[in-house]
Amino acid sequence: MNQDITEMTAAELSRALHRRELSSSDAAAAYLGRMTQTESTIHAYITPTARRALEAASAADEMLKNSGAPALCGIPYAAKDNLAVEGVRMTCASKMLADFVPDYTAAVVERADSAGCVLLGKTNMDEFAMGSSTERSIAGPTHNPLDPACSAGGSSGGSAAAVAAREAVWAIGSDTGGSARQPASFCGLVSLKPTYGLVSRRGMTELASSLDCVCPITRDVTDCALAMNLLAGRDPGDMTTFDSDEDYTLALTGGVSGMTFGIPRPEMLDECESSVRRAMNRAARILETLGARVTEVDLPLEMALEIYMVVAAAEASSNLARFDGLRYGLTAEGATAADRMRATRSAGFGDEVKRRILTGAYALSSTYGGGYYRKIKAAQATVCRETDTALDTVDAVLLPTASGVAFRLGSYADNPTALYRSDCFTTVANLTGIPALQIPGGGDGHLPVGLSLMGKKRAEKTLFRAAFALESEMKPFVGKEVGRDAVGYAKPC
Amino acid sequence: MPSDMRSLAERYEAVIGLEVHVELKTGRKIFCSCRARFGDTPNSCVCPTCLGMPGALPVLSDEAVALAVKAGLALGCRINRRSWFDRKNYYYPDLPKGYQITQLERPVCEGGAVPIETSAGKRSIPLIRIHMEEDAAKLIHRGAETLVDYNRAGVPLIEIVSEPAMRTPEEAKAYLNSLRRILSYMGVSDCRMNEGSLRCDVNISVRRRGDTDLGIKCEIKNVNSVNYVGRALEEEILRQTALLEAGEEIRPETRRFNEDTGKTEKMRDKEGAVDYRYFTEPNLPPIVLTDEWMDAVARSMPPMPDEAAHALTSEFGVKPDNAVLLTASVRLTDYFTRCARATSYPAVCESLFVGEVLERLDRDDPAEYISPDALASICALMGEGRIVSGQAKRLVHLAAESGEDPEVIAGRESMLKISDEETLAPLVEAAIAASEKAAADYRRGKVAAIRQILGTLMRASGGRADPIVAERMLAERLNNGK
Repeated sequence: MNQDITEMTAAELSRALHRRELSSSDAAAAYLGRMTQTESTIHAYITPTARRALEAASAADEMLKNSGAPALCGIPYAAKDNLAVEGVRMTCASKMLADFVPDYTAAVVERADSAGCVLLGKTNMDEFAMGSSTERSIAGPTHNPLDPACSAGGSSGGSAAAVAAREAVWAIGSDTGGSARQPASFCGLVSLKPTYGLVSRRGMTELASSLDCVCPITRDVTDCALAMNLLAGRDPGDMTTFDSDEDYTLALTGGVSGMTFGIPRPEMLDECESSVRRAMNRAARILETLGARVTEVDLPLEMALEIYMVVAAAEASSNLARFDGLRYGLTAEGATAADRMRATRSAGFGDEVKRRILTGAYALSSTYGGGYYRKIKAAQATVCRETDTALDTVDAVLLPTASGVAFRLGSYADNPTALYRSDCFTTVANLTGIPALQIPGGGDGHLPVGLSLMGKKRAEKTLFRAAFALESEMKPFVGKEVGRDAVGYAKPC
Repeated sequence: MPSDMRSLAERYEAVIGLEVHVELKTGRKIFCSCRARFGDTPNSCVCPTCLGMPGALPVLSDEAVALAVKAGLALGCRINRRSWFDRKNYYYPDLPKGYQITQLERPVCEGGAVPIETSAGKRSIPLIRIHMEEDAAKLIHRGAETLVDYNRAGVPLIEIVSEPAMRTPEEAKAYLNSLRRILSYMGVSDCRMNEGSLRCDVNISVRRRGDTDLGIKCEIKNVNSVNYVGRALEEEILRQTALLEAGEEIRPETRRFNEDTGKTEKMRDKEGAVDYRYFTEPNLPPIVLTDEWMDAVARSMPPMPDEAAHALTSEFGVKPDNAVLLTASVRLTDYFTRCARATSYPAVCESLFVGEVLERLDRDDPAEYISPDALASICALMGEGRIVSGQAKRLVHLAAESGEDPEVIAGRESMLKISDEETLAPLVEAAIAASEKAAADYRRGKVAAIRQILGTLMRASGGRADPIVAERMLAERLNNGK
């Protein structure tokens, strides 16, 4: 093969592996080699798992000798460091869990393991998935492979950077308010936030249980469909999951002719950078050219963002209560159990985590809030209703993923809460449980712009079909407007 | 009761409500499959879920829901076909996740009542609700250090909350006994207060008779026997009444019962209540009970223990007191019923079963001590007058232990009654000879003296002589030889 293995998409590598043109061990070695070259600049990983990867690769090579090996068998991937893997340190990028080694494995990693996937390591993130830049990590920031001075986004910045830097074929991230889609957008990649309940959360350290989703981050739409075939489906260990036995790769073709797409009113894009507005307009035109109808819709984006911040903080304040230093993780000294908990939590959590725990506890408090949380949940129901209404009239909605391209690392150091606004287009999907599929939509001449398709619950197939059609048409623009030596999809044509 | 106390009791009344936590007998924890059993090695039945490890999720036990619903059906509650779990957030070393999964807003059962019987007669104590929740870990205080046993973390519980409808310690005790009897018979729980599978918090206030408003209440936490509940209430009623009588205010407090002093003691003030920051548990979908599921649960329920006791009385003539003993658990009732059906001497069966068999059984979960057929042959020997009752009792244990045919054992061990006159005659002679004074007394007209001679004879026969035949022969011999 003349092509560098690390430049292949999962679909391409899968073909080569199943045809026995390449071995999984070759692929693992190529990726581990790539990691030694690029990790010092990118810092996508917190804990690489080279030995585990080589063992998994040789086991995958055995599986590949037989016909009927799973599509992603033998393909190297990375997992965010909030997913438990038995025997591998899981830090959640926090001092609290700096030395924590779980003795259980997340459902999605179990699925990947049994399909013969090869885990290369655990990727960097914002502490406990709270952040949008992967700067709030005990391991230090992750750098955007398209411009290392810029953020790879967050909180799944490590997963996105690993894929963009060709340090993994694909990666698993998590998305509570945009944490997988925004990094995918910043790195020129594809990511699906599935319908809540389509992918098991078991073994994923919870941020906000009712909003959290485990998501694939991939090089293109086809890879995303392959990854969803692996990840989706009921898990008896997560009672919020439901049955699914779709083959999403079959949903890719078919085009958008006859479909209707909603786009936001122009004023909803006022805060966006011009490259984002340009990409939106172009995508809308492409859809029309392909025979789809495009119509303006109202989505309660602003309201969703505000409610999201309260719900996410409230649930986080409860989910993070377990880190008390009594059973595992950091343990600080204290005369009484209460002193010990206080000392552990004061020392173990970073500022952003503490800020959200305080906000969340305040929102839930009956003394201070006085039924505040009940009002928030009622408002959430309104957001769901309004979103349903908007989606009733269309097949999918097209939105920017972020209001701009990747920002420079350190931009928000003095004003941490300003970064919350970067979730303004993404949180509505988490708050209502609907799927959202991020694809590259262009660039600003330097860095990529991301667009999202959102649909009704369980409308993943519709999103895949539309995304695949758009991807084919937009590829040239993305290549030209990013103009950097990135990976696969975002490569100059 | 001193007269001043009596007058206080006439002027004041107590208002009592009980919160009873009952461990559901599923054998497994409510949100994971870890074993839940009393007495396991500490921290041997734990997993990521019940230890609150990051990413571990709860999976609701369907069996726990079924037992909670059974409790509700047995106590006449409204069963909410849709209920859900909430999180109660607080920090404590016994709470692995920093929150307890419980039901606040929509419990599985509402309403219902517990039937009680006291010296004042029968009445029903209405319930507010029954909700499901997970137990916390167990703290073991050892000198300066405290150890945590997470085996108990996640054990399924129901909390049964009564209306403040009881007025006397006697009613509270009757309530607990009735609840225990019903829930153990339904197989909902072991209800063993000494093992903590039934725990009781007592809410008690005192007011002047005739007042309609409730007084300020105190809560006495974790009183762990029915008798202690009675004593704690008596003490607390005296304490609160004395305070009111002295014109002082009752402070809302959480108190404990000191088993050594028999007094209640303050643990902490109730003022400045903890803010539990409740919200709906996001990891568990609402519990929706379908008609089919409800039917299956209802069908799997035994009759109420009182009905079962009535049935034993009407079918086998079992004495009411014994009928209560024999309806401690469904398996015990079944075992006795099989024994009683196997014999044509049910009264004998009842007496042997209650007297000999019952003490050898775990009443909650009896293993078969003696087979119903073996017991039936012993009942027949007794019913036909072929064995005396002392020997029959011995035979029960011999047959139970060896598994042999009781008739064979009785024959080999010479246990059968001696009633033929030829065998008895020398015994009669010997007994009279050995009881010169008694024989003389009898002959002088002190007829009762014959009992003493009969006793001698019975002892000499190893208890095997037929006492009726022997007494007749003794009387004849004494009268003839006058």
